[in-house]
Amino acid sequence: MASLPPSSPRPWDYNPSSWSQRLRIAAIAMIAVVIALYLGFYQWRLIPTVWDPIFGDGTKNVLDSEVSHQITGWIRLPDAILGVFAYVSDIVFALAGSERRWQDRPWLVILFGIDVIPLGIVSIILVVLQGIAVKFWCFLCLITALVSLILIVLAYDEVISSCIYLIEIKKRGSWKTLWLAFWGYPSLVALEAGEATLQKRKRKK
Amino acid sequence: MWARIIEIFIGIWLIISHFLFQTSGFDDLIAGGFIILFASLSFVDRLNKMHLCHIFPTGWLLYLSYSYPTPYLPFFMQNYILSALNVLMFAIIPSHASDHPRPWKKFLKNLESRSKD
Repeated sequence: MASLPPSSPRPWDYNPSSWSQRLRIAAIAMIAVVIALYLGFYQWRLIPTVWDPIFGDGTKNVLDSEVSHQITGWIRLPDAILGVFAYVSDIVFALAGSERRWQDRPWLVILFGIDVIPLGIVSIILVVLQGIAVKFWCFLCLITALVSLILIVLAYDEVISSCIYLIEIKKRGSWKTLWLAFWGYPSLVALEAGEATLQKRKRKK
Repeated sequence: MWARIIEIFIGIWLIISHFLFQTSGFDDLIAGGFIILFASLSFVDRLNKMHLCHIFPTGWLLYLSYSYPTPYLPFFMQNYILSALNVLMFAIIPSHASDHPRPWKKFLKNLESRSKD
């Protein structure tokens, strides 16, 4: 056993760290990158107008709103461009790591989870608040919020498996072992915990 | 090593953008040069964590941008922020990220050789 083979951790009957799972997340995040970049181009005035088939000038009004200008003043970038960066980071963190990263790099999975889940929820809330605070709706912003929601659904499984693995380590070892395993350092305890994360699922079968 | 290759491209972009935006200072040229240097050194086996040094040139670019007096930045400064944030994001990704971490590989190899004995 010179390497950890790709396997399905609890509670799933598939491997959430497999390339097929992660490439799917990256492909969906790419849709949001393109949309956010398009909106950012308008905010940079590289394009004269912005397309909105449902709310007419709604998208323009949202992108040119006082709230948007205020956010631009704080972050020093158009808010749509910050969105591009956020979705690109989803892609980058989805693509990094081995097919066993839930065990060999839990920190990467947790970072990916933080990037997709809480930040995704915040972005969805912000988009919904647009209608209340700015009094206009932006069709493409709603699409990106929907993409964020889909990404959360697709990404949470891997985070759960990593958390189960870390809990298994804590059951068997000290906080120090857990800390080291979190950062990708191996130990017999970490190896056993990884096997237990797989074995219990097998026993159920 | 894909993250390192992208960092090198961003470093090259920073150098090109100096001429594209016709900036007066040399901060982008210097930062771009250091980013290329650190990313390239990460290809050397013993220096494979050099990409973590990206925090210095990117920190400088972010400092320049966020200490700028007006909140609405010129394009070249926004380019500093975007390039710096992207390099920092890629710097988090380990070299040989698609493989098991080195300590795991070494550990499994030791276990295997012990079980053979």
